[in-house]
Amino acid sequence: MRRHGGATSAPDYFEPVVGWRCWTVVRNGPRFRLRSIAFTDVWPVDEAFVARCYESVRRFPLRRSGWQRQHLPAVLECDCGIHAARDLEAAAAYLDLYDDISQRSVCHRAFGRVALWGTVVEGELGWRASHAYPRRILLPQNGTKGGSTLPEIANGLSAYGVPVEVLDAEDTASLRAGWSGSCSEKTAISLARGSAAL
Amino acid sequence: MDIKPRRAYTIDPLEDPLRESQPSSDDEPVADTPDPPAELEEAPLR
Repeated sequence: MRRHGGATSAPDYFEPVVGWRCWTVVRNGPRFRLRSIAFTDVWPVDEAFVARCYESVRRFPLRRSGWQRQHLPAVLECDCGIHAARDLEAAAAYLDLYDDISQRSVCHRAFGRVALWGTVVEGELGWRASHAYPRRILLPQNGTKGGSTLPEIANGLSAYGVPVEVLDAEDTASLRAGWSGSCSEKTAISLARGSAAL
Repeated sequence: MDIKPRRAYTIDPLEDPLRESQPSSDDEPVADTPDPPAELEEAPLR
């Protein structure tokens, strides 16, 4: 019997899907947490991050009929849900998205693997899901803000209880080069090596 | 990100999805039992 999404039908699968994605890293005092890039949702530690649909709120903020259209993510007919890409190149394209917008609490970007489950929409390029938790966190070499150091950030993100790795300069450069779809074989191997069991 | 959706389904993990599953002892390969030394095989019964 399903435990996610409120329905009672039998699930289709029993293993989470695992994809690539980016996060922003935010600092709140001594604590570092992952946060969605496009939204202000902070991913909790030791519990699943559960998606909400903002799309129906954005489209119909003041109309009662709009609230009636809210739904539990993820559904085929909407863009809601926690996103992950099949390929690291597709996810790496988000490493600098909105980076030009000043956000005081943001101190870095993270990249990595994420497990998805619950209600899942599968696509050609990736997945959207109702529930997620990071599986592996990779930190690029450069781009820290607000005086935070990479060791501090890595140590803080270890609260998630999953491997946290600081990429070396070469892997960072290769990852960023992957934006154009030309991620080096070396980076792919390196990243895959670190996530071989994912 | 447009994932180019194709289908929807449900996943209800059997194991804790917050932790990567580790292979259980049942999954570990069992070492082959070494062949007995030849002299034991050929030792006469007493």
